[in-house]
Amino acid sequence: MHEMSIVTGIWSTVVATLDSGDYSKLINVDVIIGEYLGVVRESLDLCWEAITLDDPRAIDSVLTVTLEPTEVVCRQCQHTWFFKDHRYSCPQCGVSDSRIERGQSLYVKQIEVE
Amino acid sequence: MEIKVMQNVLKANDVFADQTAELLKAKGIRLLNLIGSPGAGKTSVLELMIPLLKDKGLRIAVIEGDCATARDAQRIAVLDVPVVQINTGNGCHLDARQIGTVMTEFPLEDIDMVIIENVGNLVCPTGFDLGADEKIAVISVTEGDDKPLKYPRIFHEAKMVILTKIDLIPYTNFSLQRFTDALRSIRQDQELFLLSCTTGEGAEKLVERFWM
Repeated sequence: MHEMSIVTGIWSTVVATLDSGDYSKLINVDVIIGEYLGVVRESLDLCWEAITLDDPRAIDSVLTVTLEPTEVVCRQCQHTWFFKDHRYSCPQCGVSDSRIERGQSLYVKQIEVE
Repeated sequence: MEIKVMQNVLKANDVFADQTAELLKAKGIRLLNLIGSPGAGKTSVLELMIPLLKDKGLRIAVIEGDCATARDAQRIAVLDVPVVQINTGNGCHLDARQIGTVMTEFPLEDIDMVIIENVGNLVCPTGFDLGADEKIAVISVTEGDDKPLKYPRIFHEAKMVILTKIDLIPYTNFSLQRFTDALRSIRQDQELFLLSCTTGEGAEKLVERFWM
């Protein structure tokens, strides 16, 4: 369950920001997560709940996720396509020689505090 | 109040991965990351290969990753190579910070290659860069010939695939043709090595590849 590692990383970033100011309440955290990381949304929420449990500032805070689509590039013909159904072969030339161009990001975009 | 952050969460892992890669590159040490399901035969591959590689003069160290116990490290220690066991508790993969910490425990001046046996899992370890020169997928005949299609990511990232337990092929419905077709549909330049740790079949070719 690598969601816990991901949430731990997000939480570290959020805590650093919370500690940097006089904030009493965390309301929302906007994150951008690459689709290719294969994160299960329900697990993410569960881990978020667990990790924020001991910090009164974060009670009832919400993790808002924006998924970054996975974009694949064919090394042979340079065609690009959005990754669906785990297809790695190029829909244009048929060759299986691709690299993942986008979809592995994990960013904390902004946080909302009081 | 909204605060703009735009911070890369995976950066912490990637910084450690880069540090490990730079450290080992400076010392001319290769780092391999073995990834496969529990029971695929990763430790057995090491038990077979390490003595053969030692005979070639290659000095090896091993990092073992498991949720619990030092059983694998004990198996490797018998082969008289430096080995460190990492227990992840319920963690499903090794991360670059763990690997970076362990590296300081090895006599790096006396090592040519470090092999990481990742936590048994075909999914999560693939997503975490450890600073390795390459990821190697280990999969067994008894897992079925359709596994590359069902868990494709590791087979896209690993150029080298070791198929273990090939002595069991006659007793299963495993089709080497179907397996190869599945691999090639994900990555056409895949290097497939067939291996039986019981009979030793295929070990010689694998030694040559490791020796490269």
